[in-house]
Amino acid sequence: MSEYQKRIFAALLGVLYLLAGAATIIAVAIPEIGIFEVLGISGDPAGGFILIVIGGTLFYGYLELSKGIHEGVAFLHVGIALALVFGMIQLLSTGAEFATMALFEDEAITLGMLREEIVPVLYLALIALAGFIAWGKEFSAGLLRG
Amino acid sequence: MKKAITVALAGNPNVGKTTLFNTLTGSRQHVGNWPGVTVEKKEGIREYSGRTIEVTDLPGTYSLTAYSADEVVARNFIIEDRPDVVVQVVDASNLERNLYLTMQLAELGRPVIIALNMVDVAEGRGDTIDEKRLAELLAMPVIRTVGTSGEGLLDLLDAVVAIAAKGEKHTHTIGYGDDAEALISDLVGILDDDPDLAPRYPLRWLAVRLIEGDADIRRVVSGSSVGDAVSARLADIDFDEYEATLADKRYEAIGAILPQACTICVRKMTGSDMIDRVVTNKYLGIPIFLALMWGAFQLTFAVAEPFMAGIEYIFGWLGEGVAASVGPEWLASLLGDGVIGGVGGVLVFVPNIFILFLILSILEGSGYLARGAFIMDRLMYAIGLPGKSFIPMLMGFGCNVPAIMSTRTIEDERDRLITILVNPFISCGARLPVYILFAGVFFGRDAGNVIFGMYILGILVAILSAKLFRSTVLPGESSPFIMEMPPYRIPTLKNALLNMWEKGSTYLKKAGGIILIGSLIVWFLASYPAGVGYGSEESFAGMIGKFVEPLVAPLGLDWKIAVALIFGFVAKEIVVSSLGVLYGAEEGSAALSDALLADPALSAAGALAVMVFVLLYMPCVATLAVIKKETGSWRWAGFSVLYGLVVAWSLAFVTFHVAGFFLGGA
Repeated sequence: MSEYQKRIFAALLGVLYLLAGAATIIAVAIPEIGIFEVLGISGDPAGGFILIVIGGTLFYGYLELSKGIHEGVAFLHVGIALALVFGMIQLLSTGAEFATMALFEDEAITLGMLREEIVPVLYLALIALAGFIAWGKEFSAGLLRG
Repeated sequence: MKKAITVALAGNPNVGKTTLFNTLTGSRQHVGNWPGVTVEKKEGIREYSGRTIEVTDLPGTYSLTAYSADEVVARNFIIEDRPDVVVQVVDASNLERNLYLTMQLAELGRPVIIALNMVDVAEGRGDTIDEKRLAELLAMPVIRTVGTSGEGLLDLLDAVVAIAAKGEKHTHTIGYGDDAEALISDLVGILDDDPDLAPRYPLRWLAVRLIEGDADIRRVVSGSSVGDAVSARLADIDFDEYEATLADKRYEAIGAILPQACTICVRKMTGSDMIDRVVTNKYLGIPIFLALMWGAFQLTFAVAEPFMAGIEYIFGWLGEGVAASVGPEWLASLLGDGVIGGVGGVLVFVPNIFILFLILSILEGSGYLARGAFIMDRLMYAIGLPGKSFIPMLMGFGCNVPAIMSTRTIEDERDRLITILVNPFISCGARLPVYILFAGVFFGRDAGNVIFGMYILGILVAILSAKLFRSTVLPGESSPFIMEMPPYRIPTLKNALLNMWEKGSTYLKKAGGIILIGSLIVWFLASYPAGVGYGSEESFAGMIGKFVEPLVAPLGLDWKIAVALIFGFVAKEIVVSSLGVLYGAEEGSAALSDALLADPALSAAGALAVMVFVLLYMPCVATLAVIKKETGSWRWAGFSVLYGLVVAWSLAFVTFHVAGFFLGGA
C-alpha cells in the first residue's frame, strides 16, 4: 500500500482516538450526554489519557508523513501496536471479570453486561487490527526473536 | 639509544581495545590505578623495529567531555602526558558513533591513528569501507586490524613508528558555525595572553571546552591570569545550547565523511530504530511510558481476579474444615486465625505478584525498560539528578534490596548515596498486596487506577527527595549517563516465565518463612493475656496498638492498622497478614475485605492514607541492612528511616484530609 493510504489511515484513526479520549475525559464532568452511552463512553480520566496517547501517536505520524518525512511511518506502526496492546488489555480484563463471576460468584453474564464492555479502546482496536494486517509484517521484520 | 615511543590506546567501550592491547604487548603488562581514582590503568611494552613502544590502555569512553572519571583520565593523559601517538580503536560496524570520539581526539592536537577493528563484522553484513578514502578525509592513517588474529598489527606498528618519527600535530579542525567560531576566536585571543596556558593546552580545544560548559576546564582557567576576562566573555552563554550545537556539528562532519568512505554504512531504519523514534520522542516518550505502566497495573489487578477468587475459595474451604474438625479451641484459633488468616491473607495476592513480574519480564525482555530509563533520564537530568539512578529505581519495582546493591555501578559517591536513599520510595512487590486489598475494597473498578497512582507517587517522592538531597545535604552536579540501547526483541514466553518464577518464588518462600512467623507472633499478641477476647483492645496487640494509635489517628487510622504497620517493618507483606490475623479473617482475603469494609473506623480516605503510608513509611529490615552495608554507616540507615516516617506521615495526613474532602470520611 502506498504512503498516501498510510497517511489517511493515521489521520482518521488518530482523530477517532483523540475524540474518544476527549469524550472519555469530558464524561467525568458531564456523564449525561446521550451519545456517550451509545458509544460506550463513560467518565474515566486514565482511560481517556490512554486513548489520547494512542491518538496523539497516530496523528503525529500523519503530520510527519504529510511533511514528506518517510520515517513518520514509525508513529503509525507504534500507534497501531499501542492500540492493539490496550485493546488486548481491555479484552483480558473483561474476560477475567466474567470468568470470576461465572466460576466463583454464580452470576449469569447478561447481554447488557456484554454491551457495557464494548468501549472505544476495544472497538477502535479492531480498526487498528486492519492496519496491522496490512502493514504488520513490514513493521516486525526488523525485530529480533529473543 | 632512541627514546621510547609512547602510545595511548583510546576507543569506545567494547570495540576490541583490550584484545588489541593484549595482542600488541603480549605478557609485558602492568596493571595499576590512575592517580587519585579507582579507574584501572594498564600499561605494556612492545619492541619493534629497534624501538621500544610503551602502550597505555586508556579507559573506554564514548567522548572526551568531563562527565565521568574515565573521560577525565583519558583526556588528561593525552593532554598532560603528551603521548607521541594516539591509536583509536574503532568498531567498523558502528562507525558513526565511534567517529564522534575521533573528532574530539583530533581537537587535542596529538597525532592520531585509526585502528579499524571489526571490519569482518561490518563487511559480513554488506558494508564496504574504503579506508584510504577515510584516511584522506580524516587526515590521519587508518589501518585495518583484527585484534583476535593479530591481522594488521604490523601495519599498525609501522604507522606508529612512522608517525612518531614525523612528530606532526594533527591540525584538522571542525567548523562550528559563525556564531560559535567567533566566540572560540575571542576566547583563544584571551587565553593566549596567559603564557602558561599555551604550552600546556591546545588553546582552541580549551576554548571549545569552555563554551561547552566543562566545569573541569573552567576551574583550570579560573585559576589563571586570564580567568576574569574569560568569565566575563562567557557571562551570557547558554552552555547547554552550545554543547548541543557543537555536538550537532561534529555529527554533521561525520555525516559528510561517512557516505564518501563507506557504502551502506548509513542504513535504512530497522524495526528497532522505528520504535525508538516514537518511544523516545520528546513529546510522546513519557506519555507512552506512563500509558504502558498503567496498562501493566491494570492487567495486574484485573487478570488476577479469577485466580485470587480460586485461592480465596481454597482457603475458605480450609478455614471451614479447621473450624469444624480441630480439637482445642486455641489450636483451631491458631490454625484458623493465625496461619490461614495470616499466611492465606497474603497468598491470595500471589497471582498479582506473578502477573506483575511476568509483565515486567516481558517489558525487560523486549528491550523497552532500557528505553524507560533513557526517557526518564532526560527528565531527571533536567532537574539536576543522576540519570543512572533510574535503573536501580526500575529494579526497585521488584525488590529494593537488589536495587540498592545495583547502585554500585554509579561512580560518583554522592549520586550513589542519593540513589540509595530514595530507592525505598519505589514501590516493591511486597507492598502490592496492601494496595490490592485496600483499593479493591474501597475503590472497586477504579482500583487499577489507584494502584497505578501509588506507583507514580512513589516515583515522584523519590525524584523530589533526590532533588532535595542534592540541594541540601549532598550538593554537587549530576553526571549524564550514556547507555547502549539493546535492540528490541520479541520476548519468548519461556524466558519471561522463568524470570517471573525467579522473582515471584521469593515471595512464596517468604510466605512460608517470615510471614508465617510474623502471623504467629501477631496471633499470640492478639490472643493473650489469657481470657481476653481475640483481637480485642485488652489483648497485647490491642495494648500496643492503643499506645501507638494517637500517632496514626490524624491519618484516619485505628489501633489495628497501627499494629499491622509496626509489624510491616519486618516485611511489608506482614501488613496484610497482620490485618488478616487481627480481623480474624480465616477465610482468606474475601472475609478480610468484608471485615475492613464493615469497620466503621475505616473510610475510603483512610484507605488511601494507609496505602500512602505503607508506600513511604520506612524500608523493611532487609532493605535497612543493605542500606547500612552499602553506605557503610548506620547514620544513613537511620536517616532513611526517620526521613521516610516524616514524609509518609505528612503525605498520608494530606491525603486523608484532601481525599476526605472529596470522598468523605475525614
